[in-house]
Amino acid sequence: MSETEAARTRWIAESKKYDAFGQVLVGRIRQSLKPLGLWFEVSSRAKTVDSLVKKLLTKHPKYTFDTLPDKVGARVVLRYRSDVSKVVEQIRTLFDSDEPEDKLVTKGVNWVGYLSIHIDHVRLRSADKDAATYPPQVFWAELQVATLAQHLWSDMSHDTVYKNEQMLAKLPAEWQRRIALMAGQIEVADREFDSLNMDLSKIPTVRLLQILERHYYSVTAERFNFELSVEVMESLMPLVKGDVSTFANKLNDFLSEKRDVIEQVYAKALKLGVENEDITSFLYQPEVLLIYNLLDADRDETRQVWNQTYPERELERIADTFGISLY
Amino acid sequence: MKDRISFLPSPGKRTFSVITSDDLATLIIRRVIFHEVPRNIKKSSVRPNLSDLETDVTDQHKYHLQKKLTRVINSKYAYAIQFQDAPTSPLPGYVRELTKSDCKSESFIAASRDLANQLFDRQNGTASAGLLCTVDAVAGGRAAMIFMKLERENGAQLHPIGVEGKKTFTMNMLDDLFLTDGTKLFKAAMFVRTGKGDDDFRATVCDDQLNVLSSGDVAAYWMSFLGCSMEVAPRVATQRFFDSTLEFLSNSVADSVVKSEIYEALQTELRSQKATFSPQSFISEHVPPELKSVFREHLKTEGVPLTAFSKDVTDIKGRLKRRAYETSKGGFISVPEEIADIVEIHPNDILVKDSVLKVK
Repeated sequence: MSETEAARTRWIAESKKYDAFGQVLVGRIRQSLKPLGLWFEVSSRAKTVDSLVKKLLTKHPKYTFDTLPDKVGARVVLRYRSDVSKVVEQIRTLFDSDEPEDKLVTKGVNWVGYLSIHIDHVRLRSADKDAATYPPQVFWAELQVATLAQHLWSDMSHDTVYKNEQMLAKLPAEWQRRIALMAGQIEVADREFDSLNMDLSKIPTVRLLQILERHYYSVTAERFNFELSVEVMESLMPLVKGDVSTFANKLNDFLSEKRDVIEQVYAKALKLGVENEDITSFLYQPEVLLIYNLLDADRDETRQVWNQTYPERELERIADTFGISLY
Repeated sequence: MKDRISFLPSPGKRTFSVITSDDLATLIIRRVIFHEVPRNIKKSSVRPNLSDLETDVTDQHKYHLQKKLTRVINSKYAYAIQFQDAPTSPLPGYVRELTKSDCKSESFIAASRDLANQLFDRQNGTASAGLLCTVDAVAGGRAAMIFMKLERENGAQLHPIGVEGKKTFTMNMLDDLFLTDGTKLFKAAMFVRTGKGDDDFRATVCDDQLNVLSSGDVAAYWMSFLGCSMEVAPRVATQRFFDSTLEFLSNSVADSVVKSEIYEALQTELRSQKATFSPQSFISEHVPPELKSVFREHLKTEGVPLTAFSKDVTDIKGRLKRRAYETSKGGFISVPEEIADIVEIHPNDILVKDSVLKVK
């Protein structure tokens, strides 16, 4: 049996366990990133049999079955590039790994293309409770941390001619130029999203929403309806007394203090099922946390302002969820 | 009148405080049991219809129970309570015991059956028939016990069903109690253990007939059943609120018109015929938005309950009275009794030693 054929047979037998290892990494990363309060998606996959075989054929003799670095690949996708370093730092507290590789550093400032942080050989620490099941000498993963824009490039280039530089180099110069410009445009968009996010925080409702988002994403990864958030928050602004920055700081303190309560509320609602008629439609809207804060401070005034625009029944559902009586 | 005694706190150890919204938001219901408690009519042989088994409750039913409970226990008309020193009811003992360690089903059922009989014995003929619902729960990770009396609008009797020779009320039979407005009266009390001591509890009572606790026998039987008294005696709570509000007006309110308006409202509310006083409602109705949270903080610092209390103006009666002077030419002067000496009466004129705030 050839070496590649042996690897194929072995992978068919062992890939499920590698997949389970990937899920362990995903679970740990998800739990660890939640407190950062930012939107993220984390996933992992074990290579498919054909992909593993192709890789061994193209990378032979550099890699063998045992040394292949990406039998398991994991990916964390974020919104903003300024969050990438925080996330990498946080993940490195969980596992042993090689040093992260930043393509901007390794390729130089004139290079354009798929930018993300790669961390090779992400493995459990030897003292880890699961290290006996997934020994660090055998089980490791390649982890990528990328923004949505970087992920777009990665996704679009997957299985295309411009997937890697070797293939790119074979294309006509004019095409190479077009691809480089496109990669540059995506990087510009990535930077602009980040920069705009910072600038937008000067608008009071957006500043509040950013604080709410941080707490919201620390308990759920569900994306929300931004338009609705802004509309609701604008209608509640009469309840935000005095200076918005001071209010924002107090709101942040309140939500930090109530973190355990908020976590339990979401866990309970999830158990009951979000389609349930008793569960508020605002559960997966971050402004629900502002409403919680306002109800806690003054339920009568909140009710009065809320009722000018929205149905009282919905406020009742929110109040019930957070253990507050409107009566 | 003897039951009125139960509203007065006993001296000494006081670690009770009111059930919080955090307790209610994190509530996890573990066990539920219902017993039917009929009207206690003299010379009648009717006795409570007791369940032998816990009621099987779905997550949806648990949520409805929690919602119903939240709306009363966290309402403006909920009262902080504490165990009496020498209660005639066994309820404090059961609550202490059942929340000490993991509550066993047999102990829970036995205690709830005894308590249903206790409730029946304490009710007089005017108290409506209803269901006593006893709940074993966890709130914020701490053991909790909840008691609710549900009286039905139509007064129809419910019949328990037999399960393997044992009686129980099923949640389907009780759906109308929770899913519709067919429940006319809802009394509730909740106890959350906060430490190992006998008095380490947060506890709150509420009755959705708002003035019941302060004025009638119905409230008295519920408090007597609970073996509890108000955490702060009504006269103490009333005096504390009055004094703290005056202090707040003197030290924290600069605008003399606002000061005067809040003072007038305080006088009016305390002199009114209402049996209960709700600080939250007072703040909501009479304190301007920018002062609300400062005032709330002030009351909290001063140890004044923000929960409702039965009004008892015994200690501040003199300060609520006003002395009025009507003059021969139709003038009218009214001043608080306690500072009546600011008015000096002379044969041909009257001197009020004060300054003008506003002209009505």
